[in-house]
Amino acid sequence: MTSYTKRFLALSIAFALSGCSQQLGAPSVVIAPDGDAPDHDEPFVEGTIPSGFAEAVAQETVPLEILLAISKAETNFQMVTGESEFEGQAVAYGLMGLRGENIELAAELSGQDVELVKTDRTANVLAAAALLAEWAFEAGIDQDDVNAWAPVVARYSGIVDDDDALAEYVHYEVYEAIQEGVALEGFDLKSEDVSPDYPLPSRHGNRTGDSSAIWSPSPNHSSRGSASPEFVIIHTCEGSYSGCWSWLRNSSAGVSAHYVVNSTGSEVRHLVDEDRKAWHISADYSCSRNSSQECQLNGVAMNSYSIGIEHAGYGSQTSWNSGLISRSAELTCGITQRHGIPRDQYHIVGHGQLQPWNRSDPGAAWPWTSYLSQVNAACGSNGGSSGGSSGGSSGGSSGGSSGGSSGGSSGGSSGGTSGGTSTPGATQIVIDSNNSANNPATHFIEVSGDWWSSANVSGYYNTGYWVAATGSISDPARFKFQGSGCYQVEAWWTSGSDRPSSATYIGWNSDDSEVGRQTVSQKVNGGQWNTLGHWEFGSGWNTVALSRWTAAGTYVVADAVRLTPSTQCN
Amino acid sequence: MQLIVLLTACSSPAPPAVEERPDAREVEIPPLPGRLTWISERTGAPRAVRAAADGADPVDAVGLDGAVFPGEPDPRGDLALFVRSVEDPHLETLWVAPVGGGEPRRVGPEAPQVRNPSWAPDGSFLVVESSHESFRDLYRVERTGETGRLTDAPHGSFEPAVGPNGRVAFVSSRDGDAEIYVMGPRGSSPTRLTSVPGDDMQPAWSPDGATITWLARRDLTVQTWRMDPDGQNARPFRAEPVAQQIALAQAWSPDGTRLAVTVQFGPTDVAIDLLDAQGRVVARIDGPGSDEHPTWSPDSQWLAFTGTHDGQAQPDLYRVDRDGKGLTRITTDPAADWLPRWSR
Repeated sequence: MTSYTKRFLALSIAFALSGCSQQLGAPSVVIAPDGDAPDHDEPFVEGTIPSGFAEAVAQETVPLEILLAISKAETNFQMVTGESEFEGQAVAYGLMGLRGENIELAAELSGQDVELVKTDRTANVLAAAALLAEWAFEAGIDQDDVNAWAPVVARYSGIVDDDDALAEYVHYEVYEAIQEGVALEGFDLKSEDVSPDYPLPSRHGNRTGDSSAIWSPSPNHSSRGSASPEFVIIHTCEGSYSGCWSWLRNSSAGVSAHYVVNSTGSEVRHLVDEDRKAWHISADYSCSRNSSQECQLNGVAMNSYSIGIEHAGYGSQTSWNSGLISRSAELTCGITQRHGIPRDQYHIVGHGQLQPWNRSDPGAAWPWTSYLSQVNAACGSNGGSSGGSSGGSSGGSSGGSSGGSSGGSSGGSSGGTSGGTSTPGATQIVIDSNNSANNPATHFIEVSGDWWSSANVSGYYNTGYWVAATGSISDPARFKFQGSGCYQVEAWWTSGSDRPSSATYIGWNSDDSEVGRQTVSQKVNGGQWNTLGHWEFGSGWNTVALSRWTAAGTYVVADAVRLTPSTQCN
Repeated sequence: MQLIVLLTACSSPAPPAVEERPDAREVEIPPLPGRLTWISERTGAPRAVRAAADGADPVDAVGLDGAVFPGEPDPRGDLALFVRSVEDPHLETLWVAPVGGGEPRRVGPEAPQVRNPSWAPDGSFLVVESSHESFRDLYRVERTGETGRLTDAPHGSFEPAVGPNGRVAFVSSRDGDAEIYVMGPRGSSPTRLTSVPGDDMQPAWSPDGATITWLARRDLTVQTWRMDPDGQNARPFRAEPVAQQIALAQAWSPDGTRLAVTVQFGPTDVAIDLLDAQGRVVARIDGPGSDEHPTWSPDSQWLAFTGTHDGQAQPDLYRVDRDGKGLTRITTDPAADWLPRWSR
């Protein structure tokens, strides 16, 4: 298959001959199918080829799609400055994740300074392209055929002694990206049918532990001794997904982790059983290595107490794929449930927090607050663990509440609390904070952009709730519904000490006339239906509004409203 | 003199009518009090160095090998506290040394994790978090070095803060998630103060002991909160809460009139908010990059911190006055200087 690069170069020349003002480094193109291309009506590429890649395909023979797909696999298109994650592994630099002696060679081949190759985007891509072209020449491949580049791609991965990992890298990281199409900075490389000239991976792993992880066992593990998992450690691979799990299951590496998550969260590898100690953080203490001193410390090290999750990527990257974050959060939720680990920042921690002297992963861009919230949401719960009280020396733990008491209500049930005032069997309407659970034809919620979604505090209805800061602000959450008559109106919220003591719900007819209002304290009675009143609504689109207008300094929660036909209106 | 100058202003040139001494000043500026200890990477590996409060001519602070980090200043002003970490195997230890230099001695537990030491306000003991015999518990270390364990909670106890009455505020996950507790100086009667799901962390006592402030993770934000020592009257510390901020750390001024709060707005954008005791913002220190590690001078008149206000690649130490004014660069070496501790 002819690469896009050839077509791109032809187009560039055409631009030049016609006196077009397009710069070679950044042409904006739409390439229609030509005689070499598959028969379809879509253009192959759209937009301006990102800087670095444009220069590289102009100067080297490497196909554009190969360069883009490698960059996606290695760094997810981020300009990284790698850090050492595993002993013996050279650190990676730039969009192309060049590392070790390859940087020197690539710099030499491209006639550039090594430091520039590490730090300059265009220099980095140019250098990688020069390296790939040199290796293609050595391999004697047909450089016009994208599929023929597969062995060169495998060599670029840096994976050694692991045919399966090499095949996974070639097929499922690089060529799969080409197959699916690549979008970067407004440039769109359309999907292309590819069939790399490389053996298929065996991909026959059993699935154990976490329900959807692929079992790829590592020999690098040992007994936890008397310790049990107390916390989950978040790592970054400082490299690609396949390179990561391949390294961690290499017996000579002497390192491992329990899990590896790929860059989009679409796949997880399970390397070490959770009941065994993986070797993912510092060295275990052994008094035999310390003149038999302090032997009571044997086994008292972080590996003994922890479960490690590696994530494809780099601590220096500036953002994380939301799919990776969600998938990792689900994984961490399952781990905490299986081992009774509290779900807080003291038990779900970064590698760099525990080993700050020489590690900083997962880096400053890891979205900790969102991540912890998603872990709890995945567990359908709160900030607490499944383990509950663990005894110890806590003594009287009930005292001095900072608010937040639930007021004695059991909560959690969505069962009725109407006490016989509603009309059984009549149509009941529940307006949830999640519009996917509503029906826009009959009922939905409407909030401004100053409300944000959350599932941080337990006891929410369905999937979460909206929350906003209180103050002298006219910006209510509006629970809208079509229906007329007398309704028992109930509201659901999550309680906490940061909730308002005076949150006001107001019923409005479709003509904005008020039919009722009730002020409640959201500090208490969360996780249950709370009756606001029995209000008579007219026809049309009516509203139960929750106001933000109350004393500043708290957060009001719009979770759900239930309307049950009633006979109690005056 | 002003009149004389005005009268002579028409003639040119106009020399001063009165000879002024070269060092004449409007007001006398007293020397900065105390001394600074911080981490310097001038010789490669991070080393603790000390100098007068103007930061000039730093010298090695303790003479220990390994990575050495300065700890909270001794309230009595006699000892400098350090956390030392060595490798292969990795172990962390506490060390104290006379502030003016002298033989350091090891105190407290030795373990893979020895973190967050907090002095009692009278300097008679400190409490530290350690994995010495468990996942993470708190230990009381006397000034003499005698050590006793204060907690025994399998899910861990963290971040101790010793109050004016010797009571210890701390974080524990013993009841399922991170909450704030207090206990007696020797670990008696631990009592839970917070009860909201979402992490509660980094408790700190106001210098008069009347208030505990802490960081509370709520609904995708981390805010500074305040409460009475018995957990009552919990409320946001700021008079005007800031939506969606992530508070990272806090530091009370010794006189209790200011709280410096480190606030994160982006991965590499960290600022320091100076708040008064009522939670009103006095100033925001927000240079390019991150401003962090605030530490107050013993007289509460100055705040030192780590920043990159002059566009340098590596961080340096800076100071401002108690109102956030008079930004002054303390260190200028090309290597990184960070984590200042301002002691008596």
